[in-house]
Amino acid sequence: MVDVVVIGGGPAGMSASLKAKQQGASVLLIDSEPRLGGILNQCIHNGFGLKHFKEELTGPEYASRLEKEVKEAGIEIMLNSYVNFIQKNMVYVITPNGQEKIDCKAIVLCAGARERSAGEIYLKGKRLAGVYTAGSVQKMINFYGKLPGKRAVILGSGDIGLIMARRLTLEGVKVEAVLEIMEHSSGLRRNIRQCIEDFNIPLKFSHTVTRVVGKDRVEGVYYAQVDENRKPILSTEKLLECDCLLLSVGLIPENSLLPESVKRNKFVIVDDERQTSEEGIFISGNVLHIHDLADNATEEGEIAGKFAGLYSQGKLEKFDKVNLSFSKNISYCMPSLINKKNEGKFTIYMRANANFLKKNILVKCGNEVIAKKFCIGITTGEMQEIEVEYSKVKDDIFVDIEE
Amino acid sequence: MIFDYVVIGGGVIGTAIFNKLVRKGKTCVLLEREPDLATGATKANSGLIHAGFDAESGSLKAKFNVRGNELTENLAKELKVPFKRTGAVVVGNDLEKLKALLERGEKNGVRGLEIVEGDKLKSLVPNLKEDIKYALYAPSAGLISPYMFAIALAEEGVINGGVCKLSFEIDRVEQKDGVFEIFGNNEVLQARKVINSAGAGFNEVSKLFKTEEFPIKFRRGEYIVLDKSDFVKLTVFPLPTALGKGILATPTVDGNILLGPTAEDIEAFNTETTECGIDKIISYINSTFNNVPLNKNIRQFSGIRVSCGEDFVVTESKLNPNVILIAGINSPGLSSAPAIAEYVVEELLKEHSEDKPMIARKGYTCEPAGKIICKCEKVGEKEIENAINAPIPATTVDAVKRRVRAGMGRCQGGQCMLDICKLIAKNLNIELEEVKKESAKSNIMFKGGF
Repeated sequence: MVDVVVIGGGPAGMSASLKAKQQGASVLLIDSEPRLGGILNQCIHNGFGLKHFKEELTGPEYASRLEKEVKEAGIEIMLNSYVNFIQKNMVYVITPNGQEKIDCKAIVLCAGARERSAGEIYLKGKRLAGVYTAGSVQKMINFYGKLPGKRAVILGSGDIGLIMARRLTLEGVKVEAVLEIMEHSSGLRRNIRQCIEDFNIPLKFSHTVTRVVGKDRVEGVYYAQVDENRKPILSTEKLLECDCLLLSVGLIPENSLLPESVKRNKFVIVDDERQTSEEGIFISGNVLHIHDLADNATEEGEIAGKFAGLYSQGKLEKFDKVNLSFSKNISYCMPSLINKKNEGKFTIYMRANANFLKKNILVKCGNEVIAKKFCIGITTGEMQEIEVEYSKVKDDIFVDIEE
Repeated sequence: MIFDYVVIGGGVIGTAIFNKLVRKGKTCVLLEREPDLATGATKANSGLIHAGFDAESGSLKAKFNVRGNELTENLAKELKVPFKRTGAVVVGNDLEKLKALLERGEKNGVRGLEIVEGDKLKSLVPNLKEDIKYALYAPSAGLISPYMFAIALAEEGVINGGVCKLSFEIDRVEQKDGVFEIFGNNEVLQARKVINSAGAGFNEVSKLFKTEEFPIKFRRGEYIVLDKSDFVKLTVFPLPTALGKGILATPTVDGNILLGPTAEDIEAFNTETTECGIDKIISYINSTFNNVPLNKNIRQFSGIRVSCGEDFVVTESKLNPNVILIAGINSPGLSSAPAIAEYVVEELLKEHSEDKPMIARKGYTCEPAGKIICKCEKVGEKEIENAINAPIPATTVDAVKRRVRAGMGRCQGGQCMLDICKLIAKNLNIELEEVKKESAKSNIMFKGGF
């Protein structure tokens, strides 16, 4: 019996464990890999930690700092162990030696995300060796010191794709092009500058791969411009010779462990404490929604861990909840439910549907604006956040980007 | 040594014949030119054991399908290959055509056929569009993993004394004193009789043995694979047309949903998927069903059905009586495989002795299964190693995938492919960059620093 089980030892899971422990709970942290850190371990580039540690770190450095804190805090760690099934107060885990059932008072799911595959985007042509997700090539190079080919095409300009364009170039692989089906990148601006522009890599917006060709391995891809419905314009189709294709076409929260009864809309529905509709099951990090930065996942893990810890100690106070909704300018907001507390602040995270210049983000309760934030630039690629005082939340709230 | 038989082609037909010959106590070698079995038509089809109402009465297809269906259940049980008799329906509003199919089925010897409508149809296919009124229900149809069936047939053959040679490319063939000498892979194999079950490579093999070549045509069928769901609980066909049985929706024996195939005549063997094919499947399925879970789409593939004429060719060569020719095995080839093997071995080769009792194959699953490597399908390290070290070793990523389903799930190997490469390299004692996806030149990664 343990108070809190945290599933997943990446940045969200490690920070959730730490915060749960701080509430006086006994904590078990489970990870399926041989070491803690999650995907951070394969992200050997810098750019991590500016927010959380106030200094610039590589992924493995960031992971090892959290890992050290976890170990010093006396958190029990279970590695190489895959959680097979969860229900309220119970976690079933497959360890290398067999199956175990663990009783607990609260669960925090921090299982991260997976990359969208070739099949999920209906990639046409042959299913050859040489088509990889960008993340698996990152692991191939950074863990195993191997390369995917000599001439690469990258489909999708998400952050992993951008990072890999630079990584491949530094390893002597020619990146023929980065193709993005949208009119803009979903990656961070700094990554476009530092990974694409600085290396003169062609980045083509409104383009996609129409066909993969080759015999045993990829020998080329056909690509074309797309129309406003993102359908390829066949008259623009061209062959691009290459020997590998990397896919950076989105991340999907790996939340299949959650019981069917947990309420979802586009995302799992959580309140500002990151508790799901099933009491005692909390969720944070990329398994809830995709974060731009490990720092943000860490921050969210801290929220979930803190309240899971309190819950497990019977100290989590109950409040009425209000709903959060948003305008058509916004793709989603997190969380979707807010506890009507009297003091303190909470943060709303949101992603815009389009790019905006010099606009205000507004949070309204009825006709009253309860929070407002001026932003010089809002892009679809970058998560926005706005703080709100609990005491101003009297009823359902609405988030908008001012026209 | 001189083998009694050499079987060329490790698809489900070749492996079924190989298995049957071993059962008859014959010495037998199975040759496959790819690094794994079941990499041609056997790996890319609907995975159905058809009931047998579709084939023209009196044809080899009708005879072998109905008999094959009877034989498959026990054989699968013996081989420890999952088989489910889930049944099938042909849906449509043309009651006359459905009745004609029922009559043909009964003539072919298919049992249990009935026309269903109303609540019974609704309970069989809850997601069928309401404007489709009738169906022919065939309870004897079933599901099997076609590649696992072939692999297990061959594995059992090997455990019981047969020899299987993968990546075996035949250079030339000579015949001396009634014995074939087969040169390839720096060795010479000797055998008295040959079975050409090379599928799409039939004519190439025929050339080597100077036997008949047939005009072989290729028809491509594209499919969409959905992640596990209960969208359909049995196989749902439309009414058949001249091009085939039409686009179906079926569960697979592993619980996925398969939509397809299209049917497109093509010039050369080409397994590309196309915009046009995939769109055709989606629009047909959406016109027939409600609640199609296309958001669970995880993969598309295409398979090639070879044909030479309307019916199967299963015969002794007229040019060399020591060669058995098997060609044009398209649908219902998988369903017919055990019956074709029985016919070839007992009728054509006149091996009439009783089948000897076989030592059973172990399979790959174990408890504990070790660290979970494929998270989507929950496949453990030890299970993967069991497949790599099996009597017919899985030496490629796709070979592992076919045997233990590692990489078959919703992420399609995105998370575990490299870990599987590592296990293959470790167990075969080779470098990581030597690991292949499927064919001999399908390397997955290269040395750094070029």
